[in-house]
Amino acid sequence: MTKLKLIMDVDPGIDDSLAILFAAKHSSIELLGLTIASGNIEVNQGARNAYKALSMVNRTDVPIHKGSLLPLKRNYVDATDTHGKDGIGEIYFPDIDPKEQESAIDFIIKSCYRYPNEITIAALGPLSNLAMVIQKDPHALQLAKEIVIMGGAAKTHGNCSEVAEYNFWCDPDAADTFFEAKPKNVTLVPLDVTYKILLSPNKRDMIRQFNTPLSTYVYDITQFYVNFHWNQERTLGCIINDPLVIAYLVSHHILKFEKGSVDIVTEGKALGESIVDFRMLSDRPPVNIALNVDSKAFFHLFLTTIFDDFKDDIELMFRKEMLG
Amino acid sequence: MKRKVIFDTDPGIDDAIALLTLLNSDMFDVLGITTVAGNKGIEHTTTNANKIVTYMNQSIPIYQGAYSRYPVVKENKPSDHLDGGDVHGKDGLGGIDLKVNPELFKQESAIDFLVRCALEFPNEVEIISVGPMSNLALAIEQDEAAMRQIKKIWSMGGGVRRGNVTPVAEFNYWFDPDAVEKVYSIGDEVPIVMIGLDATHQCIFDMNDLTFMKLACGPKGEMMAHMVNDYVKAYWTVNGYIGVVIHDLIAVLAAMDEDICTTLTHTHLDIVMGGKAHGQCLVDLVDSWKKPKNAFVCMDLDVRKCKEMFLKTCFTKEVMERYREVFP
Repeated sequence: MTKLKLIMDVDPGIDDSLAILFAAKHSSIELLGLTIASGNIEVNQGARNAYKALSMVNRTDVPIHKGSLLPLKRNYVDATDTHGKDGIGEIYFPDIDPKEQESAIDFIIKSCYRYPNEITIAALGPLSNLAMVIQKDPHALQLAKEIVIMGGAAKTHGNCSEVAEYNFWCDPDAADTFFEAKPKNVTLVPLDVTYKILLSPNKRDMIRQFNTPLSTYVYDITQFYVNFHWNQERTLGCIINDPLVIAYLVSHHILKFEKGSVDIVTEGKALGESIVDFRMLSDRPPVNIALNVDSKAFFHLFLTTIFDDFKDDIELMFRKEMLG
Repeated sequence: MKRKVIFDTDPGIDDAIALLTLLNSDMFDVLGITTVAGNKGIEHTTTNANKIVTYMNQSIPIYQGAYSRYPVVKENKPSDHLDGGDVHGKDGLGGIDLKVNPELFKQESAIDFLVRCALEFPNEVEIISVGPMSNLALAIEQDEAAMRQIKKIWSMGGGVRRGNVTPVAEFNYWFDPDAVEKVYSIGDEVPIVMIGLDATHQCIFDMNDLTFMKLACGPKGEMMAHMVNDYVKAYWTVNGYIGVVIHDLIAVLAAMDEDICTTLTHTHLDIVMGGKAHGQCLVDLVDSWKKPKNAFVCMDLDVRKCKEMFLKTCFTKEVMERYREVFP
């Protein structure tokens, strides 16, 4: 079986880090490289955090390409209130800079031409890098097999304002540039579905019981997130947005979609909002918008992939319905 | 004592049905009807309001209001009016032929009338607003202290998760967002209940309902069914519904019995002006942003209760009971 050739464009970030572990460990994914943008945390620390995640699963063979330092036009606002000052829950591991590579922009363009119609891009941060790819070479992304984006809010509330989700809000001009370029085969995984992906205290504690360096790392980086969610919105547990994209890539049926066209608000009170037109009255191509998710199937896949040594325990816990 | 109410409107088919329902209710003392440009130009909407009152053989005075958006009227500029097109038929009442009683028209402007009532009956007057909020905003501009003594405002407009003019904006609020901003600025003191598209779209009068109206509700029911006839095609084409939504009616029903609103969230409402999201309501349903509360936003309706209230009010208790037998 040919593996899915994947580039992950990330801003790690706690949930990005979990998505990296997930993709790096999944047997049907060939992780070509990580590209980093400033988002949850600025790009240099993001690259270190990405390296940390890869090192936890012995995959430092995957190259890390740094990209955009700043949003296209707007002032940069990070999300360290959510992710901690170091971007991964203030665990302050010893910093290791990954090996210097070519820029994220060049890497994405080169990969698209090298493997036409084979590359999948999972965009889990602000779309600054992809917008810069479009600006540098408008044709390149049309060669991607699929671009799956975690971002936006279709029929639910935002997390940066009533209507705006962080990734699009952080760099709305990049998101607008992206959708304006009418790329094909785009799938959007918005807050409508990621809000349902709650890593509950029960699940976290099972992970802790595994008592391995990897499980300790996952437990530790999510502690800050748990506290944030409780203080901010009285959610018990943490919402882990980004790994859902990886789950979809290897198991399409986890998400259910409707088609809509997407436009991004770049000014005013609704800044960063993704306006989804399900009637598709504009000339923009349809985007698959995820609106429903099988969250139990997600967690089964996510946990058994990352903690494959504990598959039997995980399944037992599911059977005993102890993971709510 | 009956509740004092002013009906602010731009008829419009759904306005007309809302008004017919209001006039059939014995709950209210309708002080007057104020008209505004919106679904149609001001002459049309004023004439249409008159036609409905005349049809009901009542003598409620009609006060003509804003010919255009609040900022335009405020600065005495010529109208830059874009109306609702032919959604409501060319005359705005779906082509129904009704008589006008010229005696109902009053010289006093809608704005003066609103302020006068607010002063005359402090904390007694409720406003049911089912068109653009231009008149209300102009009245607040004229005498905010007076308008802060309005008892309650029931507003059909806006939407939280849906729009109609654009994917995110509803017609009434999109038409005059400056007015919306002005009106909700007194929402810290005057309770404003927003009946937006999220709520109204739950109450679809389907073809069963419309056929029942036509056959079992006498000439008035037949007329109403005829009036919404053009709507049926529009709702099929635009929304894929077999039936119609009668937005403004829901605001009247809510004013009659707030319990039809099964969720009513006291929250902050803001309106977007300019840009791609022009006219969109920003409503913090999860109270994440802790902004001052100025609106009660209805997100869910007791649909069955809406329909039964409508039938009982507009027609008779027997008609409603018949409906229960036919559609248990």
